[in-house]
Amino acid sequence: MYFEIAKRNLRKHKIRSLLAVISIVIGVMAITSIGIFGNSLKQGMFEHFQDVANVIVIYPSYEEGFSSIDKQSVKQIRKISGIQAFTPVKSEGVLVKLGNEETYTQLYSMESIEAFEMEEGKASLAGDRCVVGSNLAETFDLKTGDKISIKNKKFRIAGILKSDSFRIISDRAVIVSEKNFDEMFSKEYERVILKASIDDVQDVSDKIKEILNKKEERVKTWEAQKILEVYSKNIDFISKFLMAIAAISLFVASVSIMNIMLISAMERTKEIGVMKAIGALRREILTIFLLETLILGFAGSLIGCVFSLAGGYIICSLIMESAKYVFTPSSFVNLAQGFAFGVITVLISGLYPAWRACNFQPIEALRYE
Amino acid sequence: MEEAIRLENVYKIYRIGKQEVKALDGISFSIKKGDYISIMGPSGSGKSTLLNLIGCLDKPTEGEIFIDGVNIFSLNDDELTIIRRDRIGFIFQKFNLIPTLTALENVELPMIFNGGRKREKAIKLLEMVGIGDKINSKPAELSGGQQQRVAIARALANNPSIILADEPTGNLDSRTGSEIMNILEDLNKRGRTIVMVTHDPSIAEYSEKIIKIRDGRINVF
Repeated sequence: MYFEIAKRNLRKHKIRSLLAVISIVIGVMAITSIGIFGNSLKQGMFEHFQDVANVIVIYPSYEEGFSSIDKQSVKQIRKISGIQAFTPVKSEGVLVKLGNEETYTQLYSMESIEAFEMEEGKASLAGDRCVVGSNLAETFDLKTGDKISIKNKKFRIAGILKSDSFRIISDRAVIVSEKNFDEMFSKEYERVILKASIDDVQDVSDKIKEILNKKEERVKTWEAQKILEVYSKNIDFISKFLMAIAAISLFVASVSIMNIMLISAMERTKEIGVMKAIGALRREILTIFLLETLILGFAGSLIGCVFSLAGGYIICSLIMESAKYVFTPSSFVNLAQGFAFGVITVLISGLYPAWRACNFQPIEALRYE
Repeated sequence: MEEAIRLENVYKIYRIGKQEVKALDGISFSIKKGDYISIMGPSGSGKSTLLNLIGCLDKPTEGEIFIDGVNIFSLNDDELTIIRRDRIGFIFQKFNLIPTLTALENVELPMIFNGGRKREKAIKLLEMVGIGDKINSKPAELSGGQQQRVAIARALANNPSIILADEPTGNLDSRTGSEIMNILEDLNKRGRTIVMVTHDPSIAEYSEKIIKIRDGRINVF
């Protein structure tokens, strides 16, 4: 019955209630759609860097006078559990002959290349096979099966390496097997590239440093994940800041709700007096008034949430040129947050008017005309 | 007979600026259960103030009021509400129905405040006051007499022992007024204590006793 009373009072002032709902819709929508946008941005970034997010690169600590990683260290690293892919790398600047043309580029040796993604061809370094970076392939119009030569040794291109987001391997590189490299050059390992599952990256990296840097700092590690964390924090910060600005609109909505409910309480002074005269406790008057604000809050927040999906879709389409992250679980977290935020704000703004209404003195309220 | 209402040296003083206005100036009387009393007096005599005090809508500045033996002086807002809810039924001059609720819902409202709506009882009450066919009408769709009948049914919702009526026929034509008075008379015959404020001697005729009040004091008992 209290709900019915609240509902009928709202219906009695249709336009007023509608305006109140609209103000909540705008507030909730502003906050939620920006939240959805921030989340999409983050997911977009993670997907963009997904290929390297689990990469760890170990390189010598140049500051401490180390310029290479010795075989013993590589052996030690290899034993660490949690590593999914592993390859020590040597490198040397070389002159490469590509048909009639020549170019200087970086030659890498790898134990295995299976963990790297190819743009085309096969990830194989067996025999006389090599892999070339995408930029080099494009510049010189190289295809799988083409022949190149380094120091008069001929190699056949097995695959063209897809360039990774962080250019961990230069996209102008030529990659050959360690055996072939050692035949041409005598060098030590320059770095070790490995992959671990996303959750293990930090553990593995810590373990490596623990084992190799016992006495002195011989190696340093670089994790793509750490950089992603910084990016992600920045996006969070910016989207929270934008949400805070958007929250002003919800604040304005809450002021208007408070105003509406105060007017409503004033208009119904006599009605409140009658209800108190016939036995309504303060708690019951409070309930009726809070129910009214709650109905407004629920309706406004719900519609606001629906609109925010549309809003998020539009913002993402305009700014990110893709809205594919809008309908993901994390957006629904934003929706739930926006909904809760809307309802709670409205409820808080309804408290004072309801409290005032329930404390009307019956005799004065009855006299009110 | 047991006392339903007792007033001892009741004062109600309003302050308007620096001036004190004694609306009630030392009133004492008691009303027995089952009595039918009219309070009469010219406007400004304090008769409505008196009814409001008896109805626990207001508290005296000084003096004591007992309703069914309970001293209301020290009760708080909600405690007074509970007394009104359980023991007193109000009938107002302007009916004071809740405009958004139907006749039936208006009668059910005090029951809901008391913890449970009893639809059948509400319908019975509306039938008793003669508007069983209008239970789903909103107050605006009812005539004055019909509204006052709903108000009477509402006053009876929680089965109160005392009914307070403030100029119950003030907004009604004389024929409708006498119909309403017949209902009140009937309720009194069934054992309810009725206290009614009026300035109309022909209406006061219906009661057994008349308290006349002037300048906040009782004139004749």
